[in-house]
Amino acid sequence: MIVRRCIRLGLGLSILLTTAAGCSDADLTGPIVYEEQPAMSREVEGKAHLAGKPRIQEKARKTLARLYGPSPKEIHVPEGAPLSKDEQGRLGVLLANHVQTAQGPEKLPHAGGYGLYRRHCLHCHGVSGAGDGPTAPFLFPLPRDFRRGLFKFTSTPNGARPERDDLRRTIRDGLHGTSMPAFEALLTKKEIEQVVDYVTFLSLRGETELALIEEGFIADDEDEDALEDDIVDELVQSVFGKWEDAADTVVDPPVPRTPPSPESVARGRELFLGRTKEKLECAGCHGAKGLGDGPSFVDVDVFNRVVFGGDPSKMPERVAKLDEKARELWKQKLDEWGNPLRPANLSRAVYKGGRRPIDLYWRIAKGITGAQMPAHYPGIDHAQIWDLVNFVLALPYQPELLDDAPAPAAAEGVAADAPAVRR
Amino acid sequence: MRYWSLIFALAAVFSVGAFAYAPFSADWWLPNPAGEPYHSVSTFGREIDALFLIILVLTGAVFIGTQAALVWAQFRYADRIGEDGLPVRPAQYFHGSQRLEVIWTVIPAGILVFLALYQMDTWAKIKFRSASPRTPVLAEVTGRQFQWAMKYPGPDGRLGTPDDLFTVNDLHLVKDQTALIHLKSADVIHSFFLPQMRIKQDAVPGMAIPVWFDCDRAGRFELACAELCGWGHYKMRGDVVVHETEAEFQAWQAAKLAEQGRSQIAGADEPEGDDR
Amino acid sequence: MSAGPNATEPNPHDHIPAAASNFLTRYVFSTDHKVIGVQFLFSSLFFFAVGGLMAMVIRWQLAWPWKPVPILSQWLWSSPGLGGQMPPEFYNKLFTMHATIMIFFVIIPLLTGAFGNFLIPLMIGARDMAFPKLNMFSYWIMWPGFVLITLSFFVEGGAAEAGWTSYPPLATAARSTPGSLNGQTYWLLALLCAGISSLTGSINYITTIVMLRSPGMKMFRMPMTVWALFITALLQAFALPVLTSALLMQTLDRLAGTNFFTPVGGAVANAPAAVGGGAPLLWQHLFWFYSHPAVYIMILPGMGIASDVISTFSRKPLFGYKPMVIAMGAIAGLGFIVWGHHMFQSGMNPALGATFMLSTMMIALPSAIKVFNWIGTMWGGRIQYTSAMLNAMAFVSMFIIGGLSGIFMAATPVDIHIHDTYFIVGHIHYVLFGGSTFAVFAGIYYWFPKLFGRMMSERLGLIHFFLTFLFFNGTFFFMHIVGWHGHMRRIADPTVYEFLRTPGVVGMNQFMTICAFGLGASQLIFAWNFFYSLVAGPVAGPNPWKANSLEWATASPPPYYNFETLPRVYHPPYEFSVPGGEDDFLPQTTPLPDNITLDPVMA
Repeated sequence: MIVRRCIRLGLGLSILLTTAAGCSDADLTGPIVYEEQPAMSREVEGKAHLAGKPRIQEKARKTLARLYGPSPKEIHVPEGAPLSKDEQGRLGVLLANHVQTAQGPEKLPHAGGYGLYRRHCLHCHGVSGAGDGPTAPFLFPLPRDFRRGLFKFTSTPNGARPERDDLRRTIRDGLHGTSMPAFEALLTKKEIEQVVDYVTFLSLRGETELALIEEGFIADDEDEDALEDDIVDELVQSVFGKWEDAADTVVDPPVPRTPPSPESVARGRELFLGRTKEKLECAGCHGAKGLGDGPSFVDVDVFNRVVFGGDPSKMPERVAKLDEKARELWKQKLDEWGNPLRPANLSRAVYKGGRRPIDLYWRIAKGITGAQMPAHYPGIDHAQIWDLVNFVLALPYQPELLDDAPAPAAAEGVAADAPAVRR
Repeated sequence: MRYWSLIFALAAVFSVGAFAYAPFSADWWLPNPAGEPYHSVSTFGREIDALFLIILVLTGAVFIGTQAALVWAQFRYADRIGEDGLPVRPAQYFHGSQRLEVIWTVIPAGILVFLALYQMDTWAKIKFRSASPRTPVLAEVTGRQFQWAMKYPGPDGRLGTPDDLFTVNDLHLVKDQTALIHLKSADVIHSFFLPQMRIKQDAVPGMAIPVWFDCDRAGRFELACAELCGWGHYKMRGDVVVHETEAEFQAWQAAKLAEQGRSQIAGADEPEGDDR
Repeated sequence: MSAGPNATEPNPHDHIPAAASNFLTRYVFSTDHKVIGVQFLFSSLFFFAVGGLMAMVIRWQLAWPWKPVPILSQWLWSSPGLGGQMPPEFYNKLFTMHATIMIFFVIIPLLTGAFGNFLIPLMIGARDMAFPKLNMFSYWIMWPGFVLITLSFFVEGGAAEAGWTSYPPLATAARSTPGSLNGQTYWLLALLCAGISSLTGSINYITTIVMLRSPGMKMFRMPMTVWALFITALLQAFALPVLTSALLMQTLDRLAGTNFFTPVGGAVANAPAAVGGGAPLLWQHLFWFYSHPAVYIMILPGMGIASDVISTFSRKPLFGYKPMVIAMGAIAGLGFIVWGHHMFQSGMNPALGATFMLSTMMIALPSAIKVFNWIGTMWGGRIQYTSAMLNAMAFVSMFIIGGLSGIFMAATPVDIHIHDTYFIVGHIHYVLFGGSTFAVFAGIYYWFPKLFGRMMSERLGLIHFFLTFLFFNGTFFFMHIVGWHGHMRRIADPTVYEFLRTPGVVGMNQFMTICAFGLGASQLIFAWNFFYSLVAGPVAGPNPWKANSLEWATASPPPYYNFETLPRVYHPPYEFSVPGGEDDFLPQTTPLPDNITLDPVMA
């Protein structure tokens, strides 16, 4: 009796498990929902929010679901979105492993951006691309929040949307010195395109969400016409427009790199130390030795104590414990997303946005979107930028370049990780 | 009652059967290139495989022997109760045999010592620093969370100069040439594992460990991390590309260096590499 | 339950202590070795279930990477934003805690804590342990460990995830992975508690066995289980101080800023660099100096239990009693000079690897001798297929596989390929599940009547064994094959690698997972049998199996003072089927017939 019951149980269990195994990758996901911007329902200090406007909130949610789909499993793509098309001109085919047609869902021969994102990116970047996945709090720098459409390492002007190739490069090569891995060996080229599309999709969705909140913030909850279709249309088109414009604004250095002669490096050094008439303040942040410990930034020890001195969730309390001056400086030196920021240590030969001269040119000429690195063009001309690039590339190999520079007292703090390249 | 021995026999037959089938399936056997499931691509790989087979055959024989004795004892000496409710056969009363104890101590000891000594030479060839080849370093490979950073000496043949070539998760070498790499770690312990070339060496922070190997087939292989290194441990996959000729390798390096030196967009930003 | 005045008391030092006066001192804070043994048994079985569930979740992820686990995912780790998917660091937590719990909170406490406590005084004819209060301490110091290891899941960053081996710098650098933020500290402290428990326990066992044997119980008349526990206790007493200091050193590295295991300028994940000056490999040496002997700590008691059970149910003297004891001593001795075989690929000097290969090969020898002796014990016997016997035979059969697969790893060149792959995972599970756990089952089936005075259901026991044995092999055997195919251990998603996403490998992974679920489900039968028999099993007499050793000479369950008068022992406990005897067993308290003299070398 008991034997038979057990056998039946075992059989049932294995049948259950084998059927589960037969399903495709994306089908077995449990209930998965987008996370909302807190400003959608709560008061956020100093920012637009929809607290106390239940009708507008409802409208915003419905609009978002209509435009981009109600959940990550059901993706809608608004007309004209800046995403890839296939040969038949269908928009957003790279986003999922199927498309909706009049005859119902049609299977596509790829995993789709959503499936790949869920597998490779979700645990850091989160379901809505907010950079809030379960792994995220334990990383420094924090993963990017896509929802503002801003990305740090781009070829486009400061504050502009990234070009498709910028996202592709970041995914393919990773961001050295951060927790963003290189996916070249993990994804095929086609798969990377799918992920690029999905990241763009999440950005568009996030930007639209923010635009709706901002639009709703100035509207009256009683107003029947608030967030009506043509207003929404306009908002969406403006979001798309920014992405479409990006390709035309890519910065291409008009003159090629100056050969990295000692003279060019020396000129770059003078620029770095602010000894030219342009009075650049590089050393103010990057430090007189290029160690990323300049006096106008938060002191290295203070920074380490706050960021690494305990649980990530307790960081606000550690900030609150700083004295007033340090706290004020701390607040000024956050990035666009409100996260702590550290100037690059130039002695380590670790370049987050890439080590090609053109990458460094972009960093210097147009700054880093969302970070404190400002655009230096047209403050200095192209030749001077190339001198600076040559200097930055030479510095790890010739630390003596900055030997006679005045060393600030705090420089000792990070000296320990300098040997990383010089071994 | 005696039929309980069959379940033990079944387990033994299943084990032997699985091992016997394994060589006939590329997925079940040692990892080798797809087209040639029985060809180990590296010199060390062939030696390791031979040693592996010796141990497999020896342990297989011992396994079959002991399991057969066990199952036979279970089957033959199972208790049987006769019609009268008494055991059909009494148990024998003895406490052991000195001669048997000596036999089954000395013979396995001989086999084990033979196995240990027989392995020494290969081990020394693969790992002893004194055996490391006198060739220029192919690359410095540094494990960091969670990727392999490769640094090639570049045209001047020296590491630590501005013409070094930097790649990530991309190791290139030339067919039939012994590749010597310096293995380092930037943070935690990683392990440099080339399954098809049967090479494994932990990368320890604070140490530079030489690793050398070769490959007699051009093509694409895999590099893995075999030591737990954090949440992204499983992501530490790298490509290993074996070039047919030195010239091909040089061409690849030149193209990569050109890209690394790019200062203008002009010309499509199209890195080489096939579409997997 | 009063002992009453004992008129025939021959020994003025032997007196029966007063019974515990109230519920609390009798059943909770008891100094009675039997109660402590049962306490160890219950807490370990609870953690066995916890660790087993973790194993199944691990298997699920390996078979169907990133698919949400039914039921569990929703309330264990997943938020709606994850859609039931497991974050990779949670996978790392699972295998870390699975191994930690199974090794330090299940197998070691079960074998040494539960069986050691319950059996040693009963089997050597003592009233209690030498240090009853220390014994009580050795159980209750486990509780801070239980609490800490459970709490560690709820701290920021979650439980430890540096593997049960906790190699620095992954374990020491707080930012290397979420579990190293806080969880690792809890892990270290929990292990310290478990270590102190084992250490105090081992001191107690050694003293008890050396000092408190009943009249006539010479060392070479002790049952194999006691011998095994004695040698295990010696191993623990000598190896544990090293682990304890290593754990303390790592705790200091994490909390006090020391640098025992951090290299110069070591920096992880953009966190500030440490001053450093230590060596990551130092931890590996210290850890394995304990943890290799720990493998024998986990298998020797199993060998002892299997020897006793096999001899009893073969109704035949143990084949080569003294060689068996010597073999165990050899395992223990050699066990201290083989730790380096865990470090062949670690960057340790390869010349050292060569010597460790030789010593490791030699340690296979005593294990082989024991296997041959067990088969010799069955040879010519009258084998009775009870649940206990079947589990003990499974121990022998599976230990052969676990032992032979060890030879592959001992051979350094072959180890280059299979180190840190599933081959080693298969090996350790054949030793620790196929070996220790089957021995634990054998021990529970065998001594349950003595523990609780009731019989377990044989019928359910046989079904449980049948399913466990089949599913066990299905779960772990293919690990050898995927292992030599190169499948790394501790990776959350094998399909990232081309050579691991071939249909053959994926198929084996799924097959193993399905069997693992079967293995887990089969344990429900055991749980039912255990708890049902506890309250409603048929009442057992003092000696239901007709065995010889001293624990069967007293009532089931034994009174708190164990023996009315301390028994006198005349011979080793394996005199079954003595020719001319009326019964087929001869208790140790009955003298041998005059016509029998024991072989001085073998028995």
